[in-house]
Amino acid sequence: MVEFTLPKNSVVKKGKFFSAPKGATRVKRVEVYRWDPDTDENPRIDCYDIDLDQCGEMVLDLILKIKDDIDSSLTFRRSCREGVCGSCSMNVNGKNTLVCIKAISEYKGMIKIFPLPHMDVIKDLVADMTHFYAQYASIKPWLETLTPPPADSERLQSVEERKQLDGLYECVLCACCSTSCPSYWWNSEKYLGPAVLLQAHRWLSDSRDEHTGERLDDLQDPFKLYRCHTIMNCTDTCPKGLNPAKAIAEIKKMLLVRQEG
Amino acid sequence: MQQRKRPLSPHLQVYKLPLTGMVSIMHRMMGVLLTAGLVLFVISLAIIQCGASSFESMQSLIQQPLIGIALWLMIYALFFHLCHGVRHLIWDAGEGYEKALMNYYILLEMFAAIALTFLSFLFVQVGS
Repeated sequence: MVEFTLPKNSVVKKGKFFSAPKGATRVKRVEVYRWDPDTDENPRIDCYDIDLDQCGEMVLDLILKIKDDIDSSLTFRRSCREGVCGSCSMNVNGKNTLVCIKAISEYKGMIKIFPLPHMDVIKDLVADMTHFYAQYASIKPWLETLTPPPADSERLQSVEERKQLDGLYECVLCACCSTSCPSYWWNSEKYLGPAVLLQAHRWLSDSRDEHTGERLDDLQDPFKLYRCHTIMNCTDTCPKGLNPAKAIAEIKKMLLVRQEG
Repeated sequence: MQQRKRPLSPHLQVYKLPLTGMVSIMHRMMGVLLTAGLVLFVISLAIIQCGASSFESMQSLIQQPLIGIALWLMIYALFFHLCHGVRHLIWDAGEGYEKALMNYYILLEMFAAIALTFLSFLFVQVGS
């Protein structure tokens, strides 16, 4: 449902301020969204002045610095610190990204860090991904076959066939794209969103998959697929440089071609 | 323990829409405004056909500078809506998704709309 404002319990208040240590010369101001499920308070924005000489290069290092030295209660997801696990997706200065592969130097002035937009917040920067993962499961992200596998080998692909998966298999399901999409904000209960649709296209494009027809049947739905209005926020924000909007267009095209054929 | 209701993370409040996102929203709002404008257009036609005196009062109204500017802005909006509509057709054909060219296409749309508005302006000048 379209709702432009935040519900009462989600309105963000001003929080605490932590000044930089004495003698710091390169200070970066960082604002971070905080919400503690154990209190009755609304979310707040805490502000930290960080000495960049005491901190690593990436935005993730800033957050780690805060957790290690200033406030250990700060909660966020992170793991690989090289953009392959997809855990540390957040909204930084108005755009979703993986903070582990985003350099602090890319931002002039203050850095504002929020959880992924329009998601239920579990704590601080941790968004509830349950629904997103359920949607991912709904497109059957595995090989579906009718024929038995070859007796003495795996199901092989030609180089050409394998190339069809480029630009799709790299997706790490960080949900940056889906949570950047206004259409997903307003219709996430029915619209699958760019990340899941890109994954759907990944399985539609797999030469070894033998359930293309059933997959397309599932997607032929006014909400699941066609809530995409080519707003292009997804392609703009993808930290892996992928193109979910194009993948969605390819699915729409496959459906059309099938209708004509 | 009863679970507290989780807050919704900020969305429109914090998201910085890229140019494509802004144009997408503008395209929709323009669609609504242009539809409202169409009603005004039909009303003004109805007034004009009432006779010479109503024609003249309509004429003097439209010759007000502010009304004139609004009119030409609407014509520009119409052409921009048209150009972005063409862009949507190209998108639906599966083309024009290159990340590097996203803003270039928007500039192209804007200039095409300016050119079309200017052409209509010339057309009106020659016609009168």
